Amino acid sequence: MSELTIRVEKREQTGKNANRQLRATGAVPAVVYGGQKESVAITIDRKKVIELLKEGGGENAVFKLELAGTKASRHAMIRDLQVDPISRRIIHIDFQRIDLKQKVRVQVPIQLMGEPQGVKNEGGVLDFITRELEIESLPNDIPPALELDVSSLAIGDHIEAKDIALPESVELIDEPEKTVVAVSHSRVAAEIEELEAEAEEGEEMLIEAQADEPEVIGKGKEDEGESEESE
Amino acid sequence: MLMPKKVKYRKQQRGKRRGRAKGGDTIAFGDYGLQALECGWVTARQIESARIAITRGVKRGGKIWIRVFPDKPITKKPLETRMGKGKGAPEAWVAVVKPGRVLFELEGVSPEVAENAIKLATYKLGIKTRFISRHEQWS
Repeated sequence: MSELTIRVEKREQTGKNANRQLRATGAVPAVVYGGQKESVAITIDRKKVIELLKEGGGENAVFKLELAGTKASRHAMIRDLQVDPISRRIIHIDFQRIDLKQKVRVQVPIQLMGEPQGVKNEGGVLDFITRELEIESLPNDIPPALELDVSSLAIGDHIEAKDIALPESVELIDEPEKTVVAVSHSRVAAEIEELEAEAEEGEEMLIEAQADEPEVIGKGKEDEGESEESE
Repeated sequence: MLMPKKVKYRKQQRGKRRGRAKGGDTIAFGDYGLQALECGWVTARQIESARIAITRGVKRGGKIWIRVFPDKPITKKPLETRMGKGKGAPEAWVAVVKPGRVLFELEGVSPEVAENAIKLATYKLGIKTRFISRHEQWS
């Protein structure tokens, strides 16, 4: 994976107020820790980070953090990336210092290639059960994604973690028997047939059909008969 | 329609809907999702109706997850009733939804089909929502 150089500034102020003001200026508060050293609060440019993340192939990229105003630089990887679920803006980043000669454990996404035969010809559905696998590798050897060809899968077939071809320098940490993908019968297709049959009776009937009230724990049915006064 | 099998109490107070979703705000199972942008009550009928719309929208293939459950009973007094004489009878079941909450997830279809199916489902809900994708996590 490529090395991404980014300029960072030391952050003096911490806390909610200071960080909110910082985000309003287009910066992202971050922290660097690990490597048996003190943690350091920093700020980075939000646009630059997004640009680098998109270029560098995701969250497992190796960053070279250059401290503004000094010649100090340090290799680090993203340990945690906090995103606002509504605005989708990055709100905080945790960097962990790394040694390029020491192996690290990371989650690598799996990328599926091709369309399974069971989906194409038999009307099945591909169930992507495990989307990421934990691997151990040197930081610079981390693959951006693990490619998996699923085109030969028929209904009832599955692929386990051990079946994925990993690069030589990469070791699988997750359970080898973990199911990654499986092709099964489509429930949606069966449901559509059911819906079409019921459509004649009217969709409204389906939605209007109200079940009885649920059972009240510890009270039994006699309380249900409690009169709902009305005049 | 979705509703609890057992409850401890038949009726509940209305409660508050302010704030943001505390969890369930990211895509966890599928590739695409429907995310709430407002707070509100989503009834069991709306959930069922939206689910049917998505099922019809994806036609064949694909898998759907419903990420909310209507576990709150809503009571209503009968029409033309004078006030007082106690709380009304349970009428509907709702899920309390806050901004950010993912309501439905979809997998196994093309982005165009997913977006179209989700759009059909948004018409069935009483709150503002949007289509989200696993591949566009941050901006």
